[in-house]
Amino acid sequence: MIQELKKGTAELLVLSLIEKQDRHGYEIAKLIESSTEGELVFHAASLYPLLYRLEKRKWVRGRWVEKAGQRRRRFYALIVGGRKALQDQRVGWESFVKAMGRIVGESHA
Amino acid sequence: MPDWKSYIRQRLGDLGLSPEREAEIIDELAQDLEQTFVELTAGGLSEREALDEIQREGHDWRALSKEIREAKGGSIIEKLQVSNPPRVPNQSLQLLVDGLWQDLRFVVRSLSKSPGFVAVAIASLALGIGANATVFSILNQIRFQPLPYPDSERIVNIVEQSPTGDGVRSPMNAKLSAIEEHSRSLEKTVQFNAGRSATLSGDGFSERIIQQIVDIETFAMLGTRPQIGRLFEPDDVEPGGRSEAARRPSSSAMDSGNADLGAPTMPWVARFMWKESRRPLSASCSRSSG
Repeated sequence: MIQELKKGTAELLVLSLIEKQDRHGYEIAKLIESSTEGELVFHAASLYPLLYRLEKRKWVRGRWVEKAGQRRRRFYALIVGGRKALQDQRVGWESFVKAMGRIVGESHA
Repeated sequence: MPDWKSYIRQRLGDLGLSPEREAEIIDELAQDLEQTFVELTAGGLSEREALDEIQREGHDWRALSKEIREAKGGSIIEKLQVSNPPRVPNQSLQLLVDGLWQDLRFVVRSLSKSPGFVAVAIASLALGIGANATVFSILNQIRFQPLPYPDSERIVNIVEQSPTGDGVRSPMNAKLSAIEEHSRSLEKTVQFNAGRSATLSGDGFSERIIQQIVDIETFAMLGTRPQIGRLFEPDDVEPGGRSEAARRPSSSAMDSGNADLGAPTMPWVARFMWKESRRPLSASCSRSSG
């Protein structure tokens, strides 16, 4: 069930995680897993195609970063189109949760 | 530790991207798997167990390869542009065929779900194409390929419907006169019969021509002039009248336009040539029956 919901919210999750800070793919996957206490897990097979799609839509920009003593990594940053999309998706998500909560969250005796 | 780049490259196959892009993607995925592997071994698993764990994660490499192609490759044209180098000449064609086939199946599936819409769309297209063809045919005749006469758009053909409804025919003389007399739209009416082939010969000259019996005023009404000779005159149609409407010159003289009009050997013949005709038209006009 939760995996089905994950499919519809993956974009929102990824965009939210890179809103304040640029992150690489592995970090994004780990953050999702740890923040949701293992309820949501993204493997490379689903995460990277998603990142590439967002990049193609010009919502995120990926760039290779080399730091001293470390291997280069590809970091993803939110750009203007992505910020707008994130804002829209957040509003939609909040409305959806509120609407669902009105029915699912209440008992109908 | 496994060579993760080779591991991924073997499973993904060719992504149909430029070598640089492909290397970047493989590098990125390899880093991810390597880091997972390191974490698992650091957590107490053996290398074998860590590798099994990674494989158990359920990577569908074929699906991943397809998703990357779609997400990274962009349009079919872009795919062709990046995968066109001499390294893999057949892959671009394969990609194109695959893409077109997928698009075609998608279209068929989508359309089959809404047959009503398809019917309306096809009917609209048929009507549109039919109307367009009709308008073009009319415009083509009137505007682009008009008859080779001045003000040809003013020329109309008058026919009458057969009483039995099985065809049309030209009006009889009396009826045509009545039409002309009472019409406020028609400036002039003339009669002519359907053309038939004939051979014009004499003085060692022979030519296949189209012969028509026409009203004496036909050519004046059409606003055209004979290339050689003159138009018919009222005397020409009187029994025993003059017979010099046009005199047939020699063939070479006719072609050069410098005909030496000799003795009349073939009365009531005029030759017409219109520049606009698809082929030079030799029309022979015999004396109207009046």
